[in-house]
Amino acid sequence: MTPWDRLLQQPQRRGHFVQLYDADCSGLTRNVGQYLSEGLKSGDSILVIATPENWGGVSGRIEALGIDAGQCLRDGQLLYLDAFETLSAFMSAGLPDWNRFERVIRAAMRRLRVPQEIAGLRAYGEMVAVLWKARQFSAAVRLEQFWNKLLARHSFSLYCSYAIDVFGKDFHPDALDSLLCTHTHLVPAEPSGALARAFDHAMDEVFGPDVYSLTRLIRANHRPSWAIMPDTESTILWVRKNLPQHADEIIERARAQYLRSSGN
Amino acid sequence: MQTKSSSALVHNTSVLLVTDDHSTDQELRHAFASAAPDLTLNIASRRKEIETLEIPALLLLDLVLSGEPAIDLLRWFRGDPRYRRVPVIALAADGLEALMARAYAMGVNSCLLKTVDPPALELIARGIATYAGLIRPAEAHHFN
Repeated sequence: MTPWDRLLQQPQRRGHFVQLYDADCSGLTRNVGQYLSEGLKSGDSILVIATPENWGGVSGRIEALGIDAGQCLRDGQLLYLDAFETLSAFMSAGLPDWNRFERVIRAAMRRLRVPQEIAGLRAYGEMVAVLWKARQFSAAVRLEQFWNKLLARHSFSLYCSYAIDVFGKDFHPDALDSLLCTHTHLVPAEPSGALARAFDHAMDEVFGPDVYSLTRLIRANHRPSWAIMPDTESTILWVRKNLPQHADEIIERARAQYLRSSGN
Repeated sequence: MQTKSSSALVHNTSVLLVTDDHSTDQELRHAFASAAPDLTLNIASRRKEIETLEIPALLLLDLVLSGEPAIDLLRWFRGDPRYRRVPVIALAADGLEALMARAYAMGVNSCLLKTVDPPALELIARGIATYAGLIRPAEAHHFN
């Protein structure tokens, strides 16, 4: 079991996780399914605020893991809310309003059967992703800050996701700084190591014998305000920022290698 | 102060270390001499000294200086057309998270924790030399 598996199985209270995903949502479905199903098994209350499309995939994954999601909904252990509808309940002039947000989320928490002071609470949210996709970046970051305020008061764990491709140009430190500063962990979408191998291969192809010393330098980079993240994602961000003229070539090679290895 | 040797690995590449900490100066000087003898390492601690040296490929900035605050020097680097395109790697001791966050907000590219372990320092020096050799002047506008 990897440390990331352990994190999904037994998330720390006040942990605020984020996962990035591309058009293929399988990594998201797998991880969120694991995070939520482990919570259901251990008696935690589960709050899901997701798009209907993604909730379909995640609930299917929960069922595949042997849990009757429908029964959990009926029992009040699990509550699903539509991300678009919930978001509209507290947005004001293009930004989330704290008082309305707190009222909406507290009301949702009260609808859950198990008091969160006794059992745990795990939440999965996609409202920030809806805002990010609509390029309402400030609103998304403000909403993450609101969640952090709630996390500090209520001691639950929260899992967020964003449709951002780690191979894409949007996966850049300048664009993601505030997002990475508001989370505790960036969960890898791809746990098998295929992404890491593809990226290492691409770095090796481009830099040749220099790659080892360069990689040592990148690994030594320290950014304490950011979420803890896998080495590969951290390296991609470093390359994007520090070697921009090499970045596209490396990342395109890595993408091609990754797609080959995953049979796409 | 300048140390230089000639070899084929890195051409026309210099790194400027800005520090007034004697041990940091000595440890990095030894690490670079051992791990990256091809690199020109210039060392300075004050703005006036820095201005007398060639524009480096890369700046290493000690975040704790006893004279002018490193943050002020960083502001100067980022505002001066001669240095604004030069990537900056900050050097900091563990526990200075707030200062590191401020340095990142002001445009440092990376931040390294200081270490006194010679093998670890040599690996870092080697990495810095490799990185300095890979930087192309034309890409520097991305750092603005």
